[in-house]
Amino acid sequence: MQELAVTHPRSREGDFDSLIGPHLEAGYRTALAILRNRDEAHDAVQEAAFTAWRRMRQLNKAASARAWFLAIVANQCRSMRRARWWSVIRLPEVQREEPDVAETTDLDRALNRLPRDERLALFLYFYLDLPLVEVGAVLGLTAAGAKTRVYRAAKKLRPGLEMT
Amino acid sequence: MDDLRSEIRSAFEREQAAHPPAAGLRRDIVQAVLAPPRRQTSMQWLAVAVAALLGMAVVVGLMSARLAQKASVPAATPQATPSSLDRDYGPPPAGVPLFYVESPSHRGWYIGFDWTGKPRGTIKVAIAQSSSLYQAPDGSGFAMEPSGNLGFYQFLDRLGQQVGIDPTPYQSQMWADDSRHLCVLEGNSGQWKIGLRAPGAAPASLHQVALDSSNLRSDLINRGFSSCSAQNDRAIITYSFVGAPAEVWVVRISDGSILFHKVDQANTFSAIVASGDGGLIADNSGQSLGYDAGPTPPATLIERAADGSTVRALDPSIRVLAFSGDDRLALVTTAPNAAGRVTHLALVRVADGSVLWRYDGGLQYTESLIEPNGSAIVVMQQSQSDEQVHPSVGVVILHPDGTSIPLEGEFIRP
Repeated sequence: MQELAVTHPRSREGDFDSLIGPHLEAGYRTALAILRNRDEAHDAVQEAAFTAWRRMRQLNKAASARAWFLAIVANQCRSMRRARWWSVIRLPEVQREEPDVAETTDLDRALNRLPRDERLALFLYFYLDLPLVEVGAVLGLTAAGAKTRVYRAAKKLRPGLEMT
Repeated sequence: MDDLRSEIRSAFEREQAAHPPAAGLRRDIVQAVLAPPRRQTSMQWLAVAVAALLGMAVVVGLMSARLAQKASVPAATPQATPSSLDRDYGPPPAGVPLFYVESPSHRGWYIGFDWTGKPRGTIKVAIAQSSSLYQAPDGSGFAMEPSGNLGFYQFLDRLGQQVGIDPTPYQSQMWADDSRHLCVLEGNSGQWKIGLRAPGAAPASLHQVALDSSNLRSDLINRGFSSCSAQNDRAIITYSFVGAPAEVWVVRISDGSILFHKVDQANTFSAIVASGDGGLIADNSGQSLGYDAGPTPPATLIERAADGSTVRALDPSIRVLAFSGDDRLALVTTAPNAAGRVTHLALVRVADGSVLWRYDGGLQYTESLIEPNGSAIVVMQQSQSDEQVHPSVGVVILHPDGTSIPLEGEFIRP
């Protein structure tokens, strides 16, 4: 990736708020999807914001600030999991009384059992509606690689799935 | 595909709706990031330098006046990778405590060093890029998540051969100090239960432990082990995050009884660290973590886990990172973590606070490993610009007499 000299030398503070600020909520939601704990997710997105601030100069003009920041969030989450590996194993989510509870919990359970990078790929693509090129940027893959990752994960949920 | 998209989206929406982002998330984080200590990179370095000086002064003033006895010892400085690190040292010997780091040139090759710094063996593991290898205290066993699979750990023996895989995930698990068992915390039945198990095997028995079950039901379940001692039949479970009340439970593993419990106010103590034998607890002040926006206690405290009595009070800017295996020494960072990086380290004697070793260079603390039942501590340090989960690290072995043995070359954090 081409490195960019500072694009807006007038105000890094203003740049940070305008470039990263809009993506902080998506960052929190991504961290929550990975860590599945509110406190940890908040810590992760805050630490990721500090990292993004320190690395603002590395943000490529052509790159999506959203994908760039979410990649930092995802990496921060991995580091937090690594730091306390014993604390990240979550219990199944508390089941709620809903009319379609059986089908819902089946899918929840299947999602929860996916490898975390596959689960993250589904979250980014289906929940955050990121285009595949940005999903790939977050996961360190090409767009084609991201498509494969999403397809593979989706196929585990629905084995007969065909994807175009 | 559209149906599946809708279902997946709904599943994530349910999960997200349970824990919406805090009001003012953007404002709070932007303000925190742009606060003066981090405003300019050059100022950040200046702040770090000043903090280092203050940290040194604090160590001298508050702990003991023995700093002058020891010159500053540089940690292992990453160097060019020597060809010797490409070597396969063969099967690790039995009965010799080892610590492992990954080869810089062969992904999945882990080199075992004894505590004098001599390479003694290599294990070769097919490990996913996103996964990590978690070694038993003496290096005689390993855990890893195959293909990054959440919570289902695969266990390896001394030679890197698979010995078992988790049939079910646990809320929390940790290698015990005997290197043959793991403590497990289970909450699937709506009650917390604790037990010991062999790697890959079910626990022989689980015992109910009276942690906060309402917290369990609410899905805010971030209880985790800070210590697991099969030798002393004791585990320490903590909940500690900045912004939330920190809690510590000292639990007898064999029956689940709580031997000691304490709750600290939000933002006062956090990042609680316990010694491997469950004998000591460090209550790190909020200030030592760089939290300046709320109340902070006047000291970081080292306490006896049995009753919470204070063994040593340290300046609140000091944060304990780890204890040695015999509880004699503490690895600390001597400057507040305000710049988001732990770079200034010291090894102190718990009994009298004397400083045995210190590091004030520019490398960032990555992780430490503890010699089982001994006094030595391995410190890994990385470049501050290395943001990878498995960064390149320099490795130094610290001994209780203040001597340090840097390993030649650079490795990868397992």
